[in-house]
Amino acid sequence: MSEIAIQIQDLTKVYKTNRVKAVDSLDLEINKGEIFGLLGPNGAGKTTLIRVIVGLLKSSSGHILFDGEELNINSAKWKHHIGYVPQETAFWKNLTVYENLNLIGTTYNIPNKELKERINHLLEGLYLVDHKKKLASKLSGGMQRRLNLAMGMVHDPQILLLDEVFVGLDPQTRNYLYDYLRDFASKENKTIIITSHLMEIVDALSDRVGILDLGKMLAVDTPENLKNTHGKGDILELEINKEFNEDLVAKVQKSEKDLVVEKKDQIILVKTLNAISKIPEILNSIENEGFTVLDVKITKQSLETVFISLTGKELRGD
Amino acid sequence: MESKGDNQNKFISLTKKLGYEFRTTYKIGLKYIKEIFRSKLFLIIAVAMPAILMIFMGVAFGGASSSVESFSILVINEDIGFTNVSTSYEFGESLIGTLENVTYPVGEGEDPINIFYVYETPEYNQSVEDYLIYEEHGLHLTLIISENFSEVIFNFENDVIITVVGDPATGVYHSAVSTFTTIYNEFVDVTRLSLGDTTGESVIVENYIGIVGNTTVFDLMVPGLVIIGIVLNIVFVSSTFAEEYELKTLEKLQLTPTRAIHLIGGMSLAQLLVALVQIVVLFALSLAFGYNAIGSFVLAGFIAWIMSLSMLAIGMMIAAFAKKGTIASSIASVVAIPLYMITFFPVWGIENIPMFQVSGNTFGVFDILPTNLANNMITDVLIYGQTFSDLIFEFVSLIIITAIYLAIGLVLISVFKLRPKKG
Repeated sequence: MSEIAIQIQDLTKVYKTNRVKAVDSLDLEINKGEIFGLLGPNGAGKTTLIRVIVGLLKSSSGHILFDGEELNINSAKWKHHIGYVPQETAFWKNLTVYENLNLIGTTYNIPNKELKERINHLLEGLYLVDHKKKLASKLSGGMQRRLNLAMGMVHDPQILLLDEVFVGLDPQTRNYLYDYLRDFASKENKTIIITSHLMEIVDALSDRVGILDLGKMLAVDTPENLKNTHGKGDILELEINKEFNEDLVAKVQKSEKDLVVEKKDQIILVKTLNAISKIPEILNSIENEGFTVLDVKITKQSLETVFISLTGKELRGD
Repeated sequence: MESKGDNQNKFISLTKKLGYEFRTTYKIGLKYIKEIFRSKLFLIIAVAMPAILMIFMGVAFGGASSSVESFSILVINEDIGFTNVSTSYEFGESLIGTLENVTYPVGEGEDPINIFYVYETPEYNQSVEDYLIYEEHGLHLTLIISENFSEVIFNFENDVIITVVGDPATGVYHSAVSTFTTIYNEFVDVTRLSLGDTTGESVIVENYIGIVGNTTVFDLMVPGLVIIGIVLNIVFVSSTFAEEYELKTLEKLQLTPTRAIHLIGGMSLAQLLVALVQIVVLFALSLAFGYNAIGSFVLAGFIAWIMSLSMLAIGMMIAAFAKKGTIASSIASVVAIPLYMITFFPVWGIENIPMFQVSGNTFGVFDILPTNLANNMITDVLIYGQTFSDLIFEFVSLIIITAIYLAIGLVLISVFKLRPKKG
């Protein structure tokens, strides 16, 4: 059984200024070594939730437990466990890369020798070692984002919260970061909570995904399960060898449960959840009627369609 | 009962904790120092601007050309005296006597020199008017003592009873007015304290510690110019803190176990180093422009150094309410203006308003501003040659005032910038 890294119980955050309930009686458990993707449209409460967890915002009520223990969110102990990488890059532009990391590390009371090793390890891992003497302001955008990430990780936190860290990265850096985070979680048994509007990254990176809207968690599951249980499903395009009529469409419709079948010229369109498992029965039903399937195309259900299906709205701009 | 081992553990734990506090504060201080000294804005605001101001004032008012050994003054004494019961008072004459007797020391074994060379005339007439042609007669100042002078002094009234006439275009005029104002205020205080005892004038002479004979306007301005240089630090302290908030680097520190005390401790280290650089540069420049000082530069610099911490505190107070660096620096500039002005009040002869007295030492309203207190102290040290032991009350006042400012700054920055937001 997985060990729980962080447990959120009945957490509520109401902003006093506008009485908005940004987080509403939220319960959530995230396991050790797990990468947890947090999705939600703008205003869903993702950033509020993260800022409450890291202690930048005070919750209105509820509890946050680390390893089953409720810690003061402003205590040094809690801060040692938590690492946060915000969306905006933030660093001291007149300090070098090394100086930025050294400063943050010092505040965590890491012994000098150990700190030096950690910094060098991070610099090597994030391909910043050749730039460690550069002023942070002189780095490229991608390097600044990597420095931002390193600053959240220098104290070797058990739980790392990443808020839209993939935004503005070129594909190479994005892929590199993707691999780095995967390794970080799996090899070091660290917990990562990540928010992003880049659904394909969250889909590929996350062990589980939570979809949040209006402060409430609408669904929490593995990306595969979410796609199989929510949304409009996969789309199968079956090209048939000769003219066919509505009878064939009706036969296909009856071959499996929960199929939506349409005729489009020489093609049969099938919409269904978890389409791959249903392909044999569908093909049988067509061939039994004397037709041959020339080509099969499958468009998989995406996390984005699940997201839209659950939140009932299109993605709102970032 | 606690064992020896427990005590040792407690000691080790305390040592580690203190080690952490110092290391964190030092590293944050180092961060600010690096940021500040790598910033062009700092070099312009904190070093170049005060240095340029010092050079400008040095060129305008410095040098030995406008200096004099004694101020030549004409006193027109119209005071008719005042009789109470059977005792007559002629305070106009007493004042003249005081002015004639005030001296400043020159050196061991040498006779002290009179600060004023006094010409006296009983009434104002055409011949006197002719006498007022300063260039011709070498007069620096004319004082007209009004006819009700004794009555006003006796009755503790606040009417204007001395008229000062002179040429403000000359540098010596300002020095003479400033010196006269100081002596005159002391004369009135002492006379009123000892009413009925006409030996008040000798008390003034004894209490007065002397002034450099060749004091120029520039000399009187130097303490204020050093203070102004340090006051400018409010701008970059407040903008640095506000930028930390604006650029979210403060948030980075909030995520760590860093506390407000580390931030303020670190900034204090940086501020003290900056102030040290400013003090050395500005005093060196003042000497290059012929600054005449008889007191200790080290003591004067130390006063400015302590005062610089209050500027840090004011900077933090501003930063506590500003969300952007540009807003903070604008507010800081506005705050700095009255501080500059009040700093120069003594040069303009504007008197402090007493609040309370401790062991004969008066604490005035303007002394609430550390700039004013420090300016007077530096003037006392450099111009009047006072030593640490002469200024203990002022030192205690400056340290208390600075500590109060720092405490307010610490609380405000903690509450408004470092605590988790309630939203």
